[in-house]
Amino acid sequence: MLKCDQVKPLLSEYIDRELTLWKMQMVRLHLKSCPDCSRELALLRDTDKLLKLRKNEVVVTSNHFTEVLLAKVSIIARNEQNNVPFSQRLIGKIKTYAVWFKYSFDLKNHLSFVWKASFTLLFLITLIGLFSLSSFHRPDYEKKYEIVKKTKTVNFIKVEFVKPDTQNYRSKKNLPSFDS
Amino acid sequence: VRVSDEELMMRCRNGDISAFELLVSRYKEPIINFINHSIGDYHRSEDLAQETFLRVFKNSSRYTPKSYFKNWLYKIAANLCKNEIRDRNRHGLTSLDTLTMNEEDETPIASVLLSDHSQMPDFLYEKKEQQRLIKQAIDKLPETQRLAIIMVTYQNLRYDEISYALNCSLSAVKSLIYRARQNLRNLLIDLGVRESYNAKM
Repeated sequence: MLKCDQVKPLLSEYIDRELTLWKMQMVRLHLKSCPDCSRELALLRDTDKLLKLRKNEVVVTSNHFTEVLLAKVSIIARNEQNNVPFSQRLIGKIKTYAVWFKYSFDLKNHLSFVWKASFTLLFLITLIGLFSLSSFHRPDYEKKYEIVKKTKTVNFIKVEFVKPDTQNYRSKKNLPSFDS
Repeated sequence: VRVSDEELMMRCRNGDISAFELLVSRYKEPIINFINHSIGDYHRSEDLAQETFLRVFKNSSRYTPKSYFKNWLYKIAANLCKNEIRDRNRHGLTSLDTLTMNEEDETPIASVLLSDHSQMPDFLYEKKEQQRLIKQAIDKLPETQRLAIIMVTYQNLRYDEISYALNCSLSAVKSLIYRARQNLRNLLIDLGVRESYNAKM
């Protein structure tokens, strides 16, 4: 159960629905039993309602806003075209495509979703193909691996091929035991 | 299919002005409203909105689609607003909307000139007056608190988007908004806005 001094800083997030579901339930539970925090919440909600009175005070841009802006922008673009050599502009374009390709995976837009989905599918198909190849075309598939773990003296990984039914392999060969 | 803002921005990087125009048409209204709520001066807001989009075009080569375009745009607009608020505080500038005729009569000049309150029904006048007081209270907040509360209330931005736009941590945004609401509540009670009184009772 949360205490009052833990709940009060969360009330603002509670109003904006930014809390996790668990925390939301905890705050709700506390509010049911605490009139002081409920009053605080009512005050904050009231302030929020008052602020939202100004929400319909909407302004629009003037008619020539876009035209003026585009005129300024086209001057900048023209200057850039005249001053920057063709090779640099080409490199810039290639860089842009590279950046777009690199980051489009991070964004949750439609394009990246298609990319992600197709790459995942391709990856899965490759994985299944490799697995089936390796299981069908291995002649000595009865051999199994035994990976010998690192010890104090041996600091590399050693892979040995042993028969699975050979239990006392090390003692027969008079090799030192790794347990000691 | 709606082309994403990030893709348009990438085209913009390559000097495609029509892509830029589409971005402007998508975001000019939210941006001018955000700036207008922050500084409360329509004509200056339009200038700053233009400046915001110009900076977007000039710095398009620096934009990487690591973050959403919308957040990046709000970051630029918020920086311009911060500078404007600082300038106004330094030079003691006030917008025409908040100017008062004299100390006793607190009716703003602009609203007196533009509208005749004697013809206005009481509830409308009361509402207008309440909105003016709310604006006055918001203007008294420190700049980051002001921007954060405007973003969350009028622009419906999420806390993580605000943290990117204001260049601070998520926990800082949480405390900014909480403190802004507390300060506003006290300011509104001091200004005598009715609903706050009711809540206090």
